Amino acid sequence: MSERAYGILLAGVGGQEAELAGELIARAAIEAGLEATLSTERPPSRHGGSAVCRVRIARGEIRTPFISPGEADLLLGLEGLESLRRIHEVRADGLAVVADRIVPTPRMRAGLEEPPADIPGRLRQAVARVVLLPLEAIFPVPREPAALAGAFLGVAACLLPIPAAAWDATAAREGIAWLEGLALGRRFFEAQPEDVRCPLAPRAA
Amino acid sequence: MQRKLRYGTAAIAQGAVESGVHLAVACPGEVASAVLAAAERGGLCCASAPSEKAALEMALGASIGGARVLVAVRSGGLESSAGALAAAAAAGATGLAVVLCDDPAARHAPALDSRAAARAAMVPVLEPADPHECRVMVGSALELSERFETPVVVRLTARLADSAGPVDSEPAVHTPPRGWRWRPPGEVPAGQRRAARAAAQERLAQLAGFAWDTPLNRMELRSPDIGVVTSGLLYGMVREALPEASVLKLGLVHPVPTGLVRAFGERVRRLFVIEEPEPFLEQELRAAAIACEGRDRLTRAGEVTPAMLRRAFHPSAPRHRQAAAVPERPPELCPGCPHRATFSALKRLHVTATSDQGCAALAALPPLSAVDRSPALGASVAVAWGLETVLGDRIAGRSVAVVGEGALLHSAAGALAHAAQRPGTVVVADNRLPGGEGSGGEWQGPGGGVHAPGGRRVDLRSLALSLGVPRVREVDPLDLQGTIEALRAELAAPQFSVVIARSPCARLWTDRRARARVEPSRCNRCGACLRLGCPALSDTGETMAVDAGSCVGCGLCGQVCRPGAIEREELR
Repeated sequence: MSERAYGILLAGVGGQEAELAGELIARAAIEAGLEATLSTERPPSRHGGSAVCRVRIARGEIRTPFISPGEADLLLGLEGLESLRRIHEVRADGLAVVADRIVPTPRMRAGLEEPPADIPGRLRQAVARVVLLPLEAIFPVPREPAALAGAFLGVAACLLPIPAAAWDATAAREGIAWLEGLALGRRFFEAQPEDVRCPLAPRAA
Repeated sequence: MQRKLRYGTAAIAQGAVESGVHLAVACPGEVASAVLAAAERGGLCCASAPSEKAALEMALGASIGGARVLVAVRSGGLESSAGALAAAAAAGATGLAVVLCDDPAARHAPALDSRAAARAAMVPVLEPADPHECRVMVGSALELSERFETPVVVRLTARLADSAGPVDSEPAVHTPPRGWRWRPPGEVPAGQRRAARAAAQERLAQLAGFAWDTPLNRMELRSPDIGVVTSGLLYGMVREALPEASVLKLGLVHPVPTGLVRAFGERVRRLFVIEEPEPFLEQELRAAAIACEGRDRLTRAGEVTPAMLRRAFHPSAPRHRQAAAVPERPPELCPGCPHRATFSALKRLHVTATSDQGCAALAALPPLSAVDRSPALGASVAVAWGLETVLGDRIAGRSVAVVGEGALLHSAAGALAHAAQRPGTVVVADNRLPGGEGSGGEWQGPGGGVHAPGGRRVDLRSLALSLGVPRVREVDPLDLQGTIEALRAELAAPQFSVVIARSPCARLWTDRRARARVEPSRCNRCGACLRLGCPALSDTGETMAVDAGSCVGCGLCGQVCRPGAIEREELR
């Protein structure tokens, strides 16, 4: 059995469905006959706090659901600030696909603090490949969180060794919004340059 | 055999279904709610309890009746109901598994180590390492309980409850309850207690023998240089961080299998204990004169992380990158939450507020900053009484205790009866969702949930009056001015009063009929609406704005807007 694993980190704000998106990635992997684990920090995220989900996928045994800092292969960032918070958990030669939006914190909304400047630049300093996912271009009409999160499934579908049928079946079971997001995310990422789309290299599980 | 991705809590429920559990009982709250929700979906007969103590006693009754029972307990719940667990152990309860969840990182509850509480009650503890073992160990716990006539604790940690992995499934076993099982005590109570303690000691001795060769404990011999004794989720972490180390994986962590550890220790040069949050195993091993190294190598107490293990055992390994300095994003009250209105009213009255835990405690965070202290579930009434007793006139008329309706039934009713003997004010935040943070509305209890026995709600007004409260009034907290006036009157009253602030939890607002709309020409950006801390409101730099997607139309922001720039827009 292989002991090589992919580490995928999903970061967002409670209510953006980051955890469910991680769960769907893991379910698609299991549907494809792979091993998958995930870990979340759930309860606070239900109230709009930071949400994070760590998924590991491998062909063989996965000893622990945790990903050590600096060892995630892929960051799927559903929000800019939360992506910056977690970027140190990604390998320096890893890939970050991050939504081009910021959800202000309660203190920011109250005018008590400012959002950090140049988030894309800081992300690029931390990892080799950063792709900004233009939500308004992909979804010209405002859509529910599931559709937006589904777009990140589409990105993952381009990068992970899971057959398209497993992705489609998993997303379809969760609802049409996930399925639509999956298709749009996949189309967006397939249009990216070759050097961005190169497959992920798995690490020791 | 079917494999499905399951969280630890869902795997526990699956194990209960497959093991033929007849009844699952819990007091709602975080992990306990998640287990019960999954058990109910699995078709189990489920019952809510007002407190962990009541849950354990309900389960004891079912056990005496011959049933297999699962009790789910929130973090810290075993410590607050240790007497009930000890009573169940003394009664020789069989077929009784108690699932609980410690929170070593103190994310949602104090970082208590329930192994110590189980040791005090002389009850064995199992510790699964992953969701698959969660499922299997429920069955093991029930079998051990029936074999040794004792409740058995299945200990999870928060990270295991919130981790998911593939879990196999087996057909459920349907066995009828074994029937009434009761032994007349035959002795006076003191004699019964002494006999029960002797029996518990005998059981633990037998379990220590069982621990020697049970497959629940597993010795994995690799390099003789390092041997690690560990349990639970840390097992996988140790295997990944120290792939060459020999490992003794404990599934039965109490009674500590000292004989097995000693045998393991003789095969390795250095023996380490990796556990969390407290050095429970380490202290037990040292007491048995087994030399080992433990928490001093990692951190004094708390959660063990992969980075911590790496630093401890590979000091020359490259350091991890540091996290960027990013503004914190704490959890906050939902849009439309009635707690926001209740605490806004209290803040305007400049009172010192002693709050319950759970969602209400979030009102302590800026910009609302309306809670001064929130010590523990159900503690607010008694703590406020103590505060007012000491400070007397200096705080009279300016102190309020806020308690949720679930917490009132859990453990605050007695304190309310006591407090009612002199002036004071208590606000009961009745949002029809006992269980608070983490219960997620999935499963609700007797305070007023949809699954309340017989569909009945407890009449809080009648309850307060029957406890001797002379003044009880009800308010809709979303009527801010009305709530402020009611609270002002009750704070000034010469008698004790209870104000029931009744409005459903925002999660129960499934039918959105209105939303707020800002008229920019009237908005002077004074910021009064932002100080409510509602996630639906923001400042664009030119005017305040409402996020139509998250606004539920509670109307609170419009009530604090002096220029009248925020209007409530009916959606149909």
